[in-house]
Amino acid sequence: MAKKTGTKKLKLFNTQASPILPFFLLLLISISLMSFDHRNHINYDIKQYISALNAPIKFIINTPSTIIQNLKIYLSDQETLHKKIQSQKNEINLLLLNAQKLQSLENENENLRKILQIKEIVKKEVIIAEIVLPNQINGIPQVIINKGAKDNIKPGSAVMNNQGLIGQVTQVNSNSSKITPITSNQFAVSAISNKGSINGIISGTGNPLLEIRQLPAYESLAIGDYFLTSGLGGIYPRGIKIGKVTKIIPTYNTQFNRIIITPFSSPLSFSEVMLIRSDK
Amino acid sequence: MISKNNNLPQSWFKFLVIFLVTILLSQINLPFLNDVRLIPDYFIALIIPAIIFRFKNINIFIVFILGILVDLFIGELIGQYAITFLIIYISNFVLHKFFVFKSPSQVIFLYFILLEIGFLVIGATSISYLLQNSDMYILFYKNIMTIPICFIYKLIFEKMSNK
Repeated sequence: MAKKTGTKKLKLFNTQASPILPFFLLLLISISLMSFDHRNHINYDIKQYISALNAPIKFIINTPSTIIQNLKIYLSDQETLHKKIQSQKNEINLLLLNAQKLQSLENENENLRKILQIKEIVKKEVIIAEIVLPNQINGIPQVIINKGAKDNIKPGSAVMNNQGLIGQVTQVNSNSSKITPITSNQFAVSAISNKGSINGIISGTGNPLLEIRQLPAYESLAIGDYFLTSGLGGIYPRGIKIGKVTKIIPTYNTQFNRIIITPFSSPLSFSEVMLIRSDK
Repeated sequence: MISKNNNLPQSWFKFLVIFLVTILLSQINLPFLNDVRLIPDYFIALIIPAIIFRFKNINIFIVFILGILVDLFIGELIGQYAITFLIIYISNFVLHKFFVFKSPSQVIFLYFILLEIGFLVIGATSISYLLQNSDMYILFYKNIMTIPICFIYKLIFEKMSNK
């Protein structure tokens, strides 16, 4: 029995244009675009313009968590709410007491600076924001907050919470901003140890840990010591906690050690952050 | 008699919907997955079946524009996904020049080759992944996560082309 053949005809000669030449042309354009973007960060500017297009997607992503939060509030009973309010009142009283102490210390510090003729500390403005979804875009961790250019957020602002430093604002849209977390491999901050004797640059690794790539081996650093921001550069105020030393690894060069630091705060462990904006 | 194809705008509309859903999926966490870096690369999973099926005679220019769009929405650098999609497209073209992919096992093999090529290019051009670190393992796991998604897209394109 004869086999039924398909309707497709066999083509001996391919009449389609070869994509090789357009490929090389487009490859060249892509490489040029990538290198230009890497140098000038045009991606950030363009993303600001198209952020309105992304807004419905962000709304859809955030809707389930908003509904769950609202439901939790709606379903929580009166007694639990009373307890919660009482504990928050206690917390506020404690904080007010601490603020009073802080005010007197600040006045004392100011007077001493005047006597010693030390340059005045730049006043910092604190803005509170909430972290919103998505916390990843295509598998690359992101921290996005619900405050943007409309709330006077500017790129470069330091971001922290009560546990420690979180990162820095790198992209500002009208209603949201993107934070580069301290764990990102594009992040580095000048730090000082809690004993005040060791200075170094802490950088992100892309993993949940931080590192000081090369610290002189003679520095007396121990596991459990922690690092704070040094205030150099003027972006981060001095004294924000960064992380705790968890490993000291000798390098091939015996004069230096590699220091592994575990950050005090992780973007996954909180929902509210404070943005510190310099007046300058 | 030559009949006018009225399905063309409709199928492009379907493709646009799939593309938008993919943008949405790429920003959603998978349940029970703590490390967000293991989220599959939905766009590589989408473009491979589209190229293999030659969806609506998709050509190199459309592939490039799609790549630029992906870069604008979710990319790290403008041109990163464009270059990845272009290399996947040309690899598919070159492979079809030299080999015949008729049986299902051969076609699956082609999918694997194109996926690996895509991941190699993404890994090499990424500014988030450091190839000397343990990030290579992450790319490997990401690769494994992408395979089933790629075959889901394959099924969708199969259904769309059958209609």
